[in-house]
Amino acid sequence: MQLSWLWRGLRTGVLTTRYPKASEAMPERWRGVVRIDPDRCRPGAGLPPCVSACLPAALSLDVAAADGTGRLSLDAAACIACGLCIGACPDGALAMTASFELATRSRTGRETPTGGTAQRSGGEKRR
Amino acid sequence: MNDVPPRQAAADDTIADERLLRRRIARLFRGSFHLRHVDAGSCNGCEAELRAISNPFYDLHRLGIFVSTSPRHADGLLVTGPITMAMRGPLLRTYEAMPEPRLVIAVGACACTGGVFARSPLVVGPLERLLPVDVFIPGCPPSPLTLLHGLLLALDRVEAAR
Repeated sequence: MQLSWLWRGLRTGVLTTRYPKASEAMPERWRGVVRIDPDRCRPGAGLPPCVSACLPAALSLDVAAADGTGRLSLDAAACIACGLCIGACPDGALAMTASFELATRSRTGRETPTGGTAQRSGGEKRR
Repeated sequence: MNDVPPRQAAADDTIADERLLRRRIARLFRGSFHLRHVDAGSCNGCEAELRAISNPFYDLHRLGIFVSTSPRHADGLLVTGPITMAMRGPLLRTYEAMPEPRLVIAVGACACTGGVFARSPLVVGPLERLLPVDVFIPGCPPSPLTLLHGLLLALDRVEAAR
């Protein structure tokens, strides 16, 4: 039939996403951003395997306590969601979030890694 | 070099309530928001996703957001890449050519923080260091839906991530 394409189109309906009016389901293996479980995260002395696995140095360890144990922090804007840290963590304290709504208005208030990025996000640099 | 624009007073003076200002900008643009995209040393991953948001599934245009070919017609500046030395000048000239009010949107981990190129001596970024950034869209590359979320966040139509 000549109009078979029309029936096919009508049967299929509208496929365009309705976001932001309706939420969109992400694929099962979708990688949003890394979330740290503070109860399970036990960074010992020395560099944790997740920090050394992190390619863009988004994960960092802030050593504050006197016994050498620190607190892990993540710069979410730098995270490339490669997932290497999740496999590297011996405690299973890292996981990917399912969210895709990751945009933010500012980077202030976010935890920044020690060293490079913390200095770089400072003032304007003129050349 | 004298191509550095006067830094926009983002937080410290004139504007008491940022949200009110954003509402006003959204009203100024009247739902029609034109973007100019500058590739400042990107790997083209972000560009592939930016192309995807104008396809029939994501359909950027249904939201009243369009991509302009001239900074003179643009309300928002999309920047991808870690800002290489070579693209610094063109990027700043593009920003200067845009009429006010203008929004700057950093797309991808590179523009937000430098990403995996952060320690390169050829990189002048992240974008925050050169221009006042309104919205950060993280990801490497950000998915089309993350991009849509960021663009709608720039227009104050959705809430920011927590």
